[in-house]
Amino acid sequence: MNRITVNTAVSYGFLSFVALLILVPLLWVVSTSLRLPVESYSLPPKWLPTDFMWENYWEVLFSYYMEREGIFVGSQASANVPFPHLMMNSFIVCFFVTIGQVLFCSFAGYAFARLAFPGKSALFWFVMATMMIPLQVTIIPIYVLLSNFGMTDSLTGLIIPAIPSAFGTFLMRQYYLRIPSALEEAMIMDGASQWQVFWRVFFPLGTPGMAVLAILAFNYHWNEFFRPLILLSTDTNFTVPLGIVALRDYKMTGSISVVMAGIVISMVPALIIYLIGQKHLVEGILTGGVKG
Amino acid sequence: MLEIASLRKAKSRLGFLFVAPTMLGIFAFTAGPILFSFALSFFYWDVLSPMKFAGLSHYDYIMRDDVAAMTFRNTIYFAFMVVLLQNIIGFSLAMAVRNVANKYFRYFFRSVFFLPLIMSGATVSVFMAYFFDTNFGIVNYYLELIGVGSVRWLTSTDVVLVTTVLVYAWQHIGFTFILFLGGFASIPEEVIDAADVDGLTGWRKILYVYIPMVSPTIFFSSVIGFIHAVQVFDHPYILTRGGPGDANRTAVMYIYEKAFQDLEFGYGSTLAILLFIIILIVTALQFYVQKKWVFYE
Repeated sequence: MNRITVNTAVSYGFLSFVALLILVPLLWVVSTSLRLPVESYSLPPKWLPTDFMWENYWEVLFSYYMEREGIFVGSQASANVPFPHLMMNSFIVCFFVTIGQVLFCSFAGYAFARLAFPGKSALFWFVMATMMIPLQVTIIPIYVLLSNFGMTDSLTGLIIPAIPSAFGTFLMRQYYLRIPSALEEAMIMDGASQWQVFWRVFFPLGTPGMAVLAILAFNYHWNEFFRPLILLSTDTNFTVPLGIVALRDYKMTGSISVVMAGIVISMVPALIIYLIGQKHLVEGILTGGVKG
Repeated sequence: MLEIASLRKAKSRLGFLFVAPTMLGIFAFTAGPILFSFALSFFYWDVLSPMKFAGLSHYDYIMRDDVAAMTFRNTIYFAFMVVLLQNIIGFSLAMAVRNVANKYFRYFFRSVFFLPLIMSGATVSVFMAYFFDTNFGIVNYYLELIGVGSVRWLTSTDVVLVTTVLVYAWQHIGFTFILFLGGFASIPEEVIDAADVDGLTGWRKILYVYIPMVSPTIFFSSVIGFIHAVQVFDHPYILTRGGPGDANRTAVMYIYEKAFQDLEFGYGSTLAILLFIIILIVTALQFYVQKKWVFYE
């Protein structure tokens, strides 16, 4: 009995320590975002918010626009990054990529799970094999291809190559395989077409799979840095992570409160998605070994 | 009979229609590009002027390119450290969480460990760079307080890669934790009971029961963890832009710089192909070695 209590105590201690290691830096980010800019570097570090300088947030959000109207607020840094604009860009990219992936992966996943056509298994293994190819290895040809169509430095160029997804196809296939075929047979008996079987039965029943795919896709593209860095060059076309880094680079020597405010704002959408869909996110990670 | 034949035809028509967009997309943006990358590795090309055939000269140059050697060595070292650290932390956390009986505490810990995973590697690196700053950083402030003295986390060639490993591992704790949680859940009760009957406790129980029983998870998390880690870019790029010197430069960073800054698309592609080959070899090796130590029921 004694050993068990010791085990439990050690476990709680260890878990709490790691939890603190994760939470304390995040807490520092939040409290620094609310601090007076001159105190942003203060040591010893203050982990809890001391002031509530919401002005830092207004500065990140509005100073770009205000400076262009001739009103100067805050510092040079945030005036160079049109943050709300970048949020909108990120939303547009995430929205279209997510919708596109859910739709086209449902089609392909259904075909691989439920339809018979010549060459099916060869095509399926081909799709699976492409999952092994990292994005970094294909980025040069993708860049060349997009620039031939004049699509670099545009959100379209960021969206279109991200829609076809081997992982999503695999994920949706797994969901459609689980659905019993009795329903399908009954509908065919009643004279429904193949399309109707898909659209009225399978597509709605695939919703849990779509939720997993949608959450992973949204989160991944909200956070992605490598592709936007290479493809986008005009600062009004930037997505949020590029904006955060730009904010940091302009701020290098000054106060960091404003950078932290930007970070906090950028994390809100991902956090909301996480709170709604934690279960789906975990499930997706377990199926594909894909990190968010 | 006629009906079945027409049904089959309808199925195959819809099948083609349904896979066509994804197949075209994968061909245009994954399969085609890897072939094109391979072809490009035999050419000189700066995008602006026409391509010139290079033969094997890029491959020849890679062998003599000290920076390439350095970046690939950094990448392998980084991936190895990350995999090791993640397995140890993930295993320990999942093990410890088993002793937590309270449902709400379990949920709390799980949510916290998972939190950094939903953030952008770019964002995490931005605030971690402030943490590890030599003069103003919080990490050094506490190290000095306990008498260890300050460490040049981001400015010393000996330390900077370790710092990147720490930042990356911090962000991905939740990933291996979740994998091991699943691994532990699949251990049959009888096995644990049998170990208890045999009087196995403490380290010996971990060594002889838990580790062999979760070896498939260790294998899986190592393969996936390695594949992800060798592609690292955001963290070293944002923390120090690869510096000081080339100490924090990884393979993907070098590919990026060669192709998109120096406009050497041919050599950049050659480096990319080399990275791909390394991923394939190490993955194949891990699959081969697993037969020797992974225990499947």
